[in-house]
Amino acid sequence: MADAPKPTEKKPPEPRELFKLDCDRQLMVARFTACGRMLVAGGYDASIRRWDLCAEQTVEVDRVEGHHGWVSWLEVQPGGDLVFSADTWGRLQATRGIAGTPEIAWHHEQAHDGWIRSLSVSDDGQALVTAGRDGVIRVWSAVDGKLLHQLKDHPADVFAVAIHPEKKVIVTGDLFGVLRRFELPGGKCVSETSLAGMHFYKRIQDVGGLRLLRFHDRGRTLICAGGEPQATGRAIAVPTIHWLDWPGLKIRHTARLGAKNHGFVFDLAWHPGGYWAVVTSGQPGSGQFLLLKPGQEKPFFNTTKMSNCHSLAVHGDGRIVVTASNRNSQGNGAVRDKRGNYVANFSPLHVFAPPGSEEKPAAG
Amino acid sequence: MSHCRPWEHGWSRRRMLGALAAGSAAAGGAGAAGLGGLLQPAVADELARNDKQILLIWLDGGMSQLESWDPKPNTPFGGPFRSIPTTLPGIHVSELMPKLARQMKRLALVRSMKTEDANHSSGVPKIMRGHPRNRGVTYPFFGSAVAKLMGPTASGLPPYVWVKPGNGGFISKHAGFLGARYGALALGDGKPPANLVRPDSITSDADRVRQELRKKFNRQFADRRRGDFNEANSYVYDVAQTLMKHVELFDEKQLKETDRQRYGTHDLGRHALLARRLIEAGVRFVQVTSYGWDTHGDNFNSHASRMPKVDQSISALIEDLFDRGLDERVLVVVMAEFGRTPRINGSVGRDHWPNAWSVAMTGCGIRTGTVVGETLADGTDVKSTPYDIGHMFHTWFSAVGLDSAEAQYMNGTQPLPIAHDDMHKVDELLI
Repeated sequence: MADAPKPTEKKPPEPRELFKLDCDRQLMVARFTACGRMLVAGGYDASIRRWDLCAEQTVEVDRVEGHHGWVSWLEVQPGGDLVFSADTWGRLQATRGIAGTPEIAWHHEQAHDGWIRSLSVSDDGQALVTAGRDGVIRVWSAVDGKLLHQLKDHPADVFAVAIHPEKKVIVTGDLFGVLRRFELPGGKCVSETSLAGMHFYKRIQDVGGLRLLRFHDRGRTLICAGGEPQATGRAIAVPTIHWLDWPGLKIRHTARLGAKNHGFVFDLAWHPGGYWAVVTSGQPGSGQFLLLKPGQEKPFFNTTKMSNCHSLAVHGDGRIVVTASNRNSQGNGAVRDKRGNYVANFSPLHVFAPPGSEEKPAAG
Repeated sequence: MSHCRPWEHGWSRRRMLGALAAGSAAAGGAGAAGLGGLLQPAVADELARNDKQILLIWLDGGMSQLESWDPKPNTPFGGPFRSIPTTLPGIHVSELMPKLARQMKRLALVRSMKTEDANHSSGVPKIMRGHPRNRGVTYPFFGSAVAKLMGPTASGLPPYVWVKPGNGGFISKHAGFLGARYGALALGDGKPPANLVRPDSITSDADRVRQELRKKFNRQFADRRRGDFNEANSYVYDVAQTLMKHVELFDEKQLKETDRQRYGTHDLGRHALLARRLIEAGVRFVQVTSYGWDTHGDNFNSHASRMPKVDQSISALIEDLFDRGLDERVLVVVMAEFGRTPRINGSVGRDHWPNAWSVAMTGCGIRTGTVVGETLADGTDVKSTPYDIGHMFHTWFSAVGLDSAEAQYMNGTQPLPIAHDDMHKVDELLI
């Protein structure tokens, strides 16, 4: 008996790459400004890079200097004009007018002793919280940079921090995959939850898997993202996202987005189209850009065309930018370009139209 | 014309010491412990001072020079970390090693290492062998070379002990053409060979009978096999016998809690502390290996996790060696098979880089507080005179009193230099 014909599965619409922007250095983070006019990014050259999206053709404009080491994190003020940036030498900076003539609104040269691992801005744009490798969590007034709260002596290297929309609670994720909840203003740690699998230890190396924390759904959901590490050295992992109920911290849903020898979720954002946009990176060339509907374990779109994706941002008009690293970026020994120069890697920025959009890729 | 060579003198002296020690033991003493009873104290001290030892810390896979000895902060390849000043004016190291920064006056650093091989499988043996000129023979690893050239100390303990994570055993392949007996006694996870201690149920008399029986069987076994194999096989048992007299080395209850905390309770800390005790007990050459430095991915978080452990354990080790006066007779070397690329790859890692990397050393014969060589501002190449591992072997042999320009191995009738004959010691590194 012949099998019944399978119903034709309609392939869901996919995002289409509109154009690609070049950046001569590697980037760690990219965001669109609140006004939507500018794409800003930070990375290995200690500056804030800017691309004017309103120009006839998207062009890079002057950088904002002042940072050292790497710009490790960058966020825009919701509904405001400030861009907050942090670096690996401990500098925290707020830049005003970044879509036009930028000026530094305030800064702290030593907001932390060394690497600022994570930065999160409250939903109302009035407070930001930073976590440093120095084991200190600090809450700052977004407007003037005044220190509001300080949580010292975090017991481990903090990788991720987020502030609840009501600004009464801060959550941190550390090297050992432990999620901590601190109450403000006292800064008391009121709970610790170990996310099994988000830590690996071998050969004197801890590999931390809890790298990203985000509140969602007006604070009713906490997202814990990163990976389930499998090895040291190459630091491979299964890219993983947990969605937890808040405040109960019960894992509601988990998505494992790659193989054991893959890597980590580096960034994610909620898209107004009703899905999560996620980028992962790990083994050389293993970067993924994927779109995932709530409650689903498998993405409805996934591309590995870009090598090692490190950040993404969603524009108000639905466009998505993904920063990747250039292909052929690996190599032992003195791999050189055709002219014999030893060159740094770089991060192309890929701009996508969301699924279902009629927008056409730019010619050429 | 004299055909004697330096190591033959070494053997003679060792035989003398061995005979003295045996005499002492027969007189009621115990090995080297009785040596002072047969010699004037000043002579015993002099012998102890001259009985050089070597401790090699091997960071397998390749530690990043940019996140350790040769930082290039705020440069295109510098990475996220800052550099910090050291006790040597003008010299900075990575912020990940604050304790070693305070020890820099006690260290010598070579920042201009330039070697040939960017692969682990071929690079490790090349570095470990001093990468001599190819003469169609397999040269010994550093530890085996020292075991051959200098032999055991008066303690009688095995001359080459390798403290490593994972499994132990007798690793004869390190010895190359020297013959299996110059291989490494590997203490897996710092543990002694299994069943080292004679069980209480076996009396010492019964044990002696068993050992005689073993020797008899060994002789029968030897009749049917190659000489060097038999020698090594027999040697392993002798080593075990020797270690049985030093079981206290492996008794962790005897460790001070303060020492444990200073060195760290992680593998490297525990193994470095054991290494110090093995050196104090008289092992000629101790190698401590830390694995997992091949940080092609997540290099900076990896070093953020690893380097504090290196900083802790090696600084504690150096502190103890100097505080106990062991720096006068113990050469310490910290190295890997290569460094890591300046270029940061797409998985935020660094790849293999033999072109410009660093080696640190201290102890006997070494001019401490010295930094030799320089790399370009962006770390992509050596700016000063480059040094290969052959230069280091000449330097280290010289530091322990061996004239590497003159001394030779004999492979049957084939004389072989003990270090690359086109290279030389680095005088700046030597006292």
